[in-house]
Amino acid sequence: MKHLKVIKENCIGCRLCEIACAASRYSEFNYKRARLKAPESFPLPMPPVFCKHCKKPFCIEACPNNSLSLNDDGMVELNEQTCTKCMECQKACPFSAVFQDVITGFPLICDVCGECVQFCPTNALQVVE
Amino acid sequence: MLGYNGKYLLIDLNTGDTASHDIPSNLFKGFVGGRGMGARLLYELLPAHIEPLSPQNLLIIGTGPLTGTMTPGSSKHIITTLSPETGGFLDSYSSGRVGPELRAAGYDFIVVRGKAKVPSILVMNDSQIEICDALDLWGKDAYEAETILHERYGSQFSYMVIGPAGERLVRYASVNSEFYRQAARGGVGAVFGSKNLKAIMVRGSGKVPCQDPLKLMEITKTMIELSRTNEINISRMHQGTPGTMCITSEAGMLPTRNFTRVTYPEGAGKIDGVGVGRDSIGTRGCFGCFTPCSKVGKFTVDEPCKDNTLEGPEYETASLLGSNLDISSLPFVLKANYECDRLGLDTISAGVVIGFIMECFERGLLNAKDLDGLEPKFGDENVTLEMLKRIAYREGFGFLMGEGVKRMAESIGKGTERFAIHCKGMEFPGYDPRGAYGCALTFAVNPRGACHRRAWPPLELFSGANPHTVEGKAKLIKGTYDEQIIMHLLMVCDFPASAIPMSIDDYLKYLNVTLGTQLTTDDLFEAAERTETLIRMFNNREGKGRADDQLPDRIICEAPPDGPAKGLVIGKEAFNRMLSEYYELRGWDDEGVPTKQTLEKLGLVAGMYL
Repeated sequence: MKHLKVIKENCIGCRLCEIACAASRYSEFNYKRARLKAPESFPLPMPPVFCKHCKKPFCIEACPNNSLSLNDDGMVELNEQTCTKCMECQKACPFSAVFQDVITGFPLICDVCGECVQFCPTNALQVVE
Repeated sequence: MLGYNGKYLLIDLNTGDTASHDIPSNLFKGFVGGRGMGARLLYELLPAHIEPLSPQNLLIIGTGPLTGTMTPGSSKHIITTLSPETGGFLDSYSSGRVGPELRAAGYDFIVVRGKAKVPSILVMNDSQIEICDALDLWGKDAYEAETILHERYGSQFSYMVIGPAGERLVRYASVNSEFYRQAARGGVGAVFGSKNLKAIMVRGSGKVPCQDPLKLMEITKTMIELSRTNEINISRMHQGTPGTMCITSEAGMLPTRNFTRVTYPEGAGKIDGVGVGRDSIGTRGCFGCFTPCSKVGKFTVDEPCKDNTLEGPEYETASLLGSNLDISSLPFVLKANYECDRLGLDTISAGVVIGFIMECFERGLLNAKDLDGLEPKFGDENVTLEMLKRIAYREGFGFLMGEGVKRMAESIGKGTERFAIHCKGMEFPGYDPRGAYGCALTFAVNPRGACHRRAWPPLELFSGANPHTVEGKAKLIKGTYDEQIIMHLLMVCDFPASAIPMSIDDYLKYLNVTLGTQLTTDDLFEAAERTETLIRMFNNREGKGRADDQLPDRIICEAPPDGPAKGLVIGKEAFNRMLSEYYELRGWDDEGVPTKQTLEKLGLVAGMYL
């Protein structure tokens, strides 16, 4: 299964991945809509966290109206039609890797599109199979 | 105008009132943003001849059209105000997320006036403004205060915080952002303090205005690829800005022992790029920047025994708190850097102030009694750390030290003004102009005082010109200076320009994609001219002219005892000739006042851009 991998030592904390993630998805510069996020850390940066697409995802278990599911590729997917934005998924994620869109209020979960990888200046992010 | 928010928010600390004001689109055309728009707003909104530390002064915090857009180095914000050090125009810059958040909150600028009744913080959450009591934060150092604020308000806010030095109105107090980035020059921290303002926090949830984000991303992708193999970028990632020290020491422009020497071989491999590169424990980039220059340093303190880490040192700190004090220990420089950041002091001015005192003491012009028992000699690390505290808390003689070298020399007398190293009251950064004479002009004509950010002094060394002459320097410096102004209008850091590399044309591509315009480089250079002349008008209005564009006698009349310019003197006549040539190139008269024709040409007349 393809997934995103981070090489911690390479990360310089520039957060270009976050800006690129939101920009490629919504055609706007608003890093608060990104599907990955670097936790606050000073002065040494922390690399971004993102959905690991667990085999038995806590977020899916926690969702009260089955809006989250594993798709055929084994990735967590959101059905926005039924999602009530209760954010139980966010609370349940042990990796703090579910975020909330500041505009729509929906949960944001990385779908490994790989756009961030192209913008990582130090090759700290990679998509691997 | 598309690509901008087109408005500023006026916040009155006296009343808590706020008002949103539109910025006419022709002003964006004339001044672009950043330094230009900040100057334009200050020129209009600030009453003439007020005291910089009075409630009437304004804090104008702003952005440029590229802020937060994924343009290289576009996370900067600018603070424009009347300088407590110089009594003239001040623009001070820092990185972090204040700029991007402000744009995302729907404004290009905020203008803060008045004075809060009690120590306060200003919280901007989109267009909602709250002024909250901060009695519990007042007195805390900048690191402690920011840590508490982060815990209270979370990671989506961006922060500007002052330390005890700002609270006590030290004239070179800084404002921290994200702990280790400072708008440090000229005393913006003291203006915060004078307004009873411990911190400003900004959060925006909207998008940053940009006409074609996808196109802009494509340009950035190309730039990232270019930067990956750029040797300057690779070297700077490894050495940080201290990499500059080997250049300045070799060229004889490295401040050493209060500018009595210009080379510092003792620091080689210790506090220069080699030493910092070897001993740092990491590298960090500013928000959205892919040409990182920030090194993370670590030092150990004995009581209580623990490791401290910080982003630093930068070149300026390593030179003014290192070579200038004849100290070649990196752990000390890191410690002093940490103290300055924590206390909220500009490392540059603090280093020059302490160097000045050390020289006064060693020459017998001040004694231990004058200095509350301290015996500051060059090379003394403990005394330096003690003095930093006394400056920030303004204890005893520390009060006068907090006024800066210009006022200190006026108070001490005894001919000390000869080696009080400042221009207009702002202390020199880490370059001695005797190693490259154009630098003397750069420091003299910069409206905020001696400053290296308008025409980076070492560039002259790579221009092919003889560094030890004033001939041709007015033109050379003006050229570099104007390019830098453009970057400060766009509000981009100038480092990526060399680390990618990028030209003004490349920045123009970014600008046109952002605004949906077809501006030309001529438009940008004209805006740069207009900005510089408007700032000159501002300083003229405050009573400044040619007499203020002068440098201390040590720099102009004394020959350095070492380095390539050993035995050579710039000389007053040559310096003044260079100054006159510069005025002429700018269209100013020989007193440094813009001529009527220049004002008309640039549209700096009522009904146009005024």
